[in-house]
Amino acid sequence: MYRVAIVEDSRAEGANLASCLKRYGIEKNEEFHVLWYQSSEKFMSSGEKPDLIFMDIELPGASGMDAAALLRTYDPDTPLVFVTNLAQYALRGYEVDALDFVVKPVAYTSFRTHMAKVMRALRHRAVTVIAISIRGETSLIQLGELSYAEVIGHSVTYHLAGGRPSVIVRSTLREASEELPQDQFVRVNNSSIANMAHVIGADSEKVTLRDGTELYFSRSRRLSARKAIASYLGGSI
Amino acid sequence: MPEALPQIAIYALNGYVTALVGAWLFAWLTPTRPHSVVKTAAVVAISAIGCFVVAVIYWSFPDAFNATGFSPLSTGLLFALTFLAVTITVRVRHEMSYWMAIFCTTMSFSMWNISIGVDALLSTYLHGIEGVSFLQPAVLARDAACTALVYCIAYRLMIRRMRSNGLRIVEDHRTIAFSAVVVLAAIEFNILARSLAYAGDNTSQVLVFFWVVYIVVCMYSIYAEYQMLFKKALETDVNTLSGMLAKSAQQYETSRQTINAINRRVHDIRHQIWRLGTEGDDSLDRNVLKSISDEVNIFNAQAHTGNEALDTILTEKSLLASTIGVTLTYIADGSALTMEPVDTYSVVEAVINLGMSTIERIGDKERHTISLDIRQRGSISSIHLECDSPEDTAIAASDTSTVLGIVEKYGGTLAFRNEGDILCFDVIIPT
Repeated sequence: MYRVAIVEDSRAEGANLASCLKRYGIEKNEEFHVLWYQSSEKFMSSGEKPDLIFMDIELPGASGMDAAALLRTYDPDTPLVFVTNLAQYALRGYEVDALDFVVKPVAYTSFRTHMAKVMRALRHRAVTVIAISIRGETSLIQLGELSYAEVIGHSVTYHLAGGRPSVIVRSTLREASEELPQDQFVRVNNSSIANMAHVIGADSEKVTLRDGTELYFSRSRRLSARKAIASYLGGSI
Repeated sequence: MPEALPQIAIYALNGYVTALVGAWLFAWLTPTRPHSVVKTAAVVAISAIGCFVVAVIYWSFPDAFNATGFSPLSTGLLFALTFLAVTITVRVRHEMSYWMAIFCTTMSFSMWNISIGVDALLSTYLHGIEGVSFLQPAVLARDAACTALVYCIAYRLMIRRMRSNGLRIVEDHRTIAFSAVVVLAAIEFNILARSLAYAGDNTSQVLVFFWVVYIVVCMYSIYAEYQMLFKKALETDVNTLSGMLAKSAQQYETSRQTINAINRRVHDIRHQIWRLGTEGDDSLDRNVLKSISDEVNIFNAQAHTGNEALDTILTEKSLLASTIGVTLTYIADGSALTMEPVDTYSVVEAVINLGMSTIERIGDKERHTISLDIRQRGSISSIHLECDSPEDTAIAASDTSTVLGIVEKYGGTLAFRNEGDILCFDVIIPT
């Protein structure tokens, strides 16, 4: 079940959005628990940590855009969708890393299209740790911290971000690849798999990760790896 | 020279399989036809039976062809039949015209000719002019190794490049037909020359010289056909792209000027309405004036992303979308796109057009929704388009050639995928 916050001052619009969510849930066999707030202040002071936020831009008091900017100072990840008729403001949604925006009045068919992207983002957030067995002991690795995995000899080294020590496991890259979510990790060459969430640069030769690591594409994997990165960064997978 | 029935059958079958593998190397990335596995299996089975039937005929009437084995006439006929069978097999499996299939078979035969030449060269070096039966395991292995070597080299130097750009050739029918005839003639010449060489009083040096010349001629034949058809196709693509870019540059300038003119007029009209409201007579209802002002403001639809080329195309497409009942929403960071203005205009236009042409195929107007997202991710610009689409919509390479042509210039790439009835299209460009 996903907890969804709707920040909307219009009762009619809020009810319409909740109804769209309910219908989408029935259609896609998903469950949504809706939390409705009539102002951004009420939402911000509620202390709730929803999985998804629908935010109107034109709100009494602090605007949806201002509230989103404040939210991002302590919560950079929760998917945020603007619901507005002020397209000119929504245009700048990238400034607060808004996932998408929906035009009011919200029609279900249009809402459904936008929800496809939202659901992909929610699914990405669902898998956050993987369990790795090292000499009989299970170790948990936060996916967000895993920068890339590479095979050296008969072992796979999991390189973690933030200066954390690497984890070395006696395994093959194929086995490691099967453990990792296919839609977030990409095989760059015969010896390494990169976390696409850590990609900050990609040209025709190599991919650059947040920690500065450069991984070069092998000739045979270049095309598929670059396509996967394009799809991931665009939010298609 | 093969004489026994199984030998002739294996000889024919070996030729068919070798040529088929070569032709498939070229055809592989072309989409396959529906139920192609079953149909291909059927054609391959018929061809295999055909090989056996031919073997029976050749074996039954050796005098009609040559008392000592295969004559140039009978072997030439066998190769021509093999050519036909391979062309049909490739055509049955892949979505391509017969001309394209003949091209694949011709290239395959050319590669095969080279491998025959290399094999013969080795045979002459190892065994002199006597030759050995081709059914000996060592000879079969050498033959297969030569074929594999030539195919691998051809793949590295030529096929991979063709496949990475999609198998696009100019369907110059005369060139393809001429090449096919040249290839078959080369085989015929090979057999004729070989029989003369073995029959005469030649030395190994003469044969070696002959095979080297033969290999060089075959290589030149492949090179010439590749240049004539594939390179020409690439040049045509480049010319088409240049033409489109020139057209886009013109269109960009026209749109920019038109939108600026509309905005100036909208500003003037709003100013006049404001004056009416403040200076006009009291009989004018100010609420009505405000409502008119708001209505007029809709035409002031210019996007302000901080990138003039992006603003122009987004405004143009927004106006078009509102006229044809399409909901076009976008989140766009103008600073993310650092390409030349005309390239920015052309790429975003082509991406939105792709979305528009996709939703056009949906009957339900309410599903005519396109969502566009342009933003910076690290040092990568990302353009993402998402829209409703008919189930499993296929995108042809030609639909994306404009975008690909431009973004590749900047080291970028594109990807698209279907998720049920949603189409996602992504472009990334390093900045």
